[in-house]
Amino acid sequence: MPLARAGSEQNRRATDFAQLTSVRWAVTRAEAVRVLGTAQRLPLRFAAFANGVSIHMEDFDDTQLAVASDRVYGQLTHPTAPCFRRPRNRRNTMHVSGKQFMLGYHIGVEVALQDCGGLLAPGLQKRLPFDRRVRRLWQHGGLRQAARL
Amino acid sequence: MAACAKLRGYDADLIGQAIPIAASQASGLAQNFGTLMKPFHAGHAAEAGVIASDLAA
Repeated sequence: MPLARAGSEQNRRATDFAQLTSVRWAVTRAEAVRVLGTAQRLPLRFAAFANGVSIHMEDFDDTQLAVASDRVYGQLTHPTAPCFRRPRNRRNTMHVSGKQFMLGYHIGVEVALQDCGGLLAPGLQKRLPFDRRVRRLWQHGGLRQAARL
Repeated sequence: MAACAKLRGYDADLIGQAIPIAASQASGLAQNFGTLMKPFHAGHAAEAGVIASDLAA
């Protein structure tokens, strides 16, 4: 990819690097992905960011179930949004079928929910900062269904 | 981050907002609860996944 090539050929002139960059952008434009709720399409990277922010900003995917007086957040996860945006974006760029898309999505949600028990165990809950725990759940669920696709 | 904000001519208020945004990206901060930095992390995680898979390819 251009980044790696530019790094291995440090003597390239700036114009050559600009050309490499423009080639990369041409590729990403061809992979343009829809931003949910709009007619706008962005390169995969930026669409993933925009969709991830917008989905979670509404907080509709929270599972805030109090399990004890000292664990009022209990099973606090966001199992659907991170598992949705990856197969959704992959579906745009890899042209997988609707059936494959839904299978990957459901695998991701299932894995995220099953991970909750271990990752949110009281001992681990004290050791890991909250954001790191949530991030691990996102990565586990999202990566597994992305791999499935 | 501070150098970038300074070069862009930000005033103290804007720099004061940029510093915690940068800090949150470094580690994740519970202090960001209730702010837009929390959904930012959801989007940032998705973007990071794309970048990581691009670099690995």
